[in-house]
Amino acid sequence: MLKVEHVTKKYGKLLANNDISFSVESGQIAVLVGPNGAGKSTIIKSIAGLLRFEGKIEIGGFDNKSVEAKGLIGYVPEMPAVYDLLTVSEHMEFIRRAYRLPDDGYDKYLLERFEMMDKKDKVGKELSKGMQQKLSICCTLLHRPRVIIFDEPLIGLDPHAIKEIKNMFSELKAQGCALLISTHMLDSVENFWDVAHIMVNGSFAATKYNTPGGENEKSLEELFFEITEGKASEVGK
Amino acid sequence: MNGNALSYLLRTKIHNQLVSFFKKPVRLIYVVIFIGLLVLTMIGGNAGAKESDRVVRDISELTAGINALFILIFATTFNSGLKNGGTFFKMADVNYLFPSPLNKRSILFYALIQQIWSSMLIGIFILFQYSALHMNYNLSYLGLTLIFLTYSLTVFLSQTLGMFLYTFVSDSEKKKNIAKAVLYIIIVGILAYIGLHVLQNKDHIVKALAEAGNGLPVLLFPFAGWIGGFAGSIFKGEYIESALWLILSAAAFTAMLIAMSRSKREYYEDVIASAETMQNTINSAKDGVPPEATPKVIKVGKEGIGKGNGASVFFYKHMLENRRASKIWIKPMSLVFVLITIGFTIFMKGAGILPIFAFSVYMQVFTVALGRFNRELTKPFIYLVPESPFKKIIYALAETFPTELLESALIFIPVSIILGAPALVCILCIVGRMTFSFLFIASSIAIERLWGGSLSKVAGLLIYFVVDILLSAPGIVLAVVLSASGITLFSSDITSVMSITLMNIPVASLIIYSCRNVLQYAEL
Repeated sequence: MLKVEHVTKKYGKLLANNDISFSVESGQIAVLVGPNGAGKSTIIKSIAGLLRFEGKIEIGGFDNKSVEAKGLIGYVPEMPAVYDLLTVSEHMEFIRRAYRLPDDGYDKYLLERFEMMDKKDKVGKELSKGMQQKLSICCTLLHRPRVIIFDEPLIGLDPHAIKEIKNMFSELKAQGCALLISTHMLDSVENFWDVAHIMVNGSFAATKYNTPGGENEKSLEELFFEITEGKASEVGK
Repeated sequence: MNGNALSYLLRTKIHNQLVSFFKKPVRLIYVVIFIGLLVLTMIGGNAGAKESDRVVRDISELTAGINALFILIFATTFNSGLKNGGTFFKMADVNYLFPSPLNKRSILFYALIQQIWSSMLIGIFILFQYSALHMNYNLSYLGLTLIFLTYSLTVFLSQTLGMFLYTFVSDSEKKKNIAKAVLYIIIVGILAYIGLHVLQNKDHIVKALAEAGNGLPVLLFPFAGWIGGFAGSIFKGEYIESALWLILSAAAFTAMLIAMSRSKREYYEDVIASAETMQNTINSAKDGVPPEATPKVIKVGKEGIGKGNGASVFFYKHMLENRRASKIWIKPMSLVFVLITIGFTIFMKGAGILPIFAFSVYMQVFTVALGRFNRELTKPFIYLVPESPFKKIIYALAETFPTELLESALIFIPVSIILGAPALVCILCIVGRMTFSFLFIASSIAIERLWGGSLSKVAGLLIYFVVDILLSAPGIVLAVVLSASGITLFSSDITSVMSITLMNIPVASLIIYSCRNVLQYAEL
């Protein structure tokens, strides 16, 4: 569903992503982990079509900047993107109209699920950071995207919302969506990932698959610290 | 110990600021360009016209203008101080200094010293007015420096007074409203005094305005009037009077400082909210567009976007946002520009409509840069919605049409009445000004297409001005050529505005169409 081929991104002289290639299949959850400044948000933004880059990114077989690809992708930014002057329900109406979606009540379902119904008449400016993040997630999921990328989605959320979004990850996976989640909080993704890419200095330092392996296999956390503390070694499948 | 820590902080900040110019040479280049432009304005101002050809206007017009400017800046700064407390402190001060064992009075003085520097930065725009002020009022460099310093002093004092009063009224909405009401009553009283004076001297409006603007009721306005009186009496050579105004200001400021440092009221809590607001402003400015000045309490009114599907929903969303952003359907900043332009017309009555048109377009450069389209580019939705990029741009720009129509009409209907210009000229000026808004938007789009988000804020602003000038050039050149060849249609004013309008439309359209895929190349 999502294919990233040889993507390189520079900000002036700074090499933020260096020749990155990977893919996320339908029904798969991939996580990008890495320390601050590793280049996770840059690759996420490149996939969402918000940055210029060298290389190729395809969503469902379409170029990621095409109209077809935009219909398939959903993006939850790290900093919640809400409009100060629109109410919560108007945000949902805006997305529904922009994506030409039927008024089938899915917007209300999402707001209820994230406990936002009592805030539906509040404008974006009046919402707390956590509420804005929940609204941002609802807006992203409304058009039922097939490829969903989350940039640090759990930051600022209350425990109930964290539980809800983790449940949502599993449901979306079961529905055949491809999920890419960027995070630097390892314990937040420990249970539900299928493949993890550890990023350091703009490149993938290691890729680990979540398969029931032998007892001697390192955990994601152990591998992460080994790599980021300078003991990197080739890690295979 | 207290003094040492705070003076170390001040010294280090200044040192690091200076070092940053050498570590990042681009900053040094900006400063050199800035100084170069300033020198050019100064030299250009002196070389503008032969001394013998110049008609020097009455200096009392200038001193009245100074008083009006000082009162305006005082009222807005003071009002904002009353709403949110002072903006003397940054989040770093709140986080590190407030919990520290440093004396709170020392911290207050540290903030005041910093604030003097910030107030001077705010006043720098005055230095660029040298050319016009020298031409019209024979203002010297020394005179300009006096206006600059007194303006900065007014900003500083109004911020200090705003913060001082906030500590006393912040605990009660009623007290806040009383303080605001006192301010409004004083302003309404001054306006009534000026209005009455003008009504009594209808035949000489400018003279009457200048007289009233220098009248005692205006000069008695706290701080702003006193400082204005200080500057005005120096211009008139009345040094004893100027000393009296200065002594009055200094005495009031000292009394305020003593009251603040002896007050048992805790000011820390009061400034935290404003420090957070300022931090948000700084963060937003890093994204290229400052946060929108929205009402503190937004009246939602009728809910729902109601119309639009696909790309067109951006237009209806913008109209809804405009309705909520301001009670009067026009941005507060635009309203200020409208009033300034009308005021400019009264003083430039004899010069015809073209200088007013040029002035209103100059103001427009700033309002267009803060429009909805540029704000939309800072959110991901316009990039993500699965519609043709060109359609999205057109609908995201469409809001400009009614907004600019209203703004232009608010300017040129009263301007035409004041100047006695025919209806055709008024309509042409409205249309002509609207075409400039499209031209300036085209400029933003072209910059976005060429550089994406890779430009720094200052570089982006400089390039925006340069591209604006380049895109405006064809229309201006055509107007000059027609004027030089003596070709006129109806009148020379009409010919000039028409030729500019006719060139702006194809230039803006061509740029917007050439950059139709900008959303695919822009960087968020």
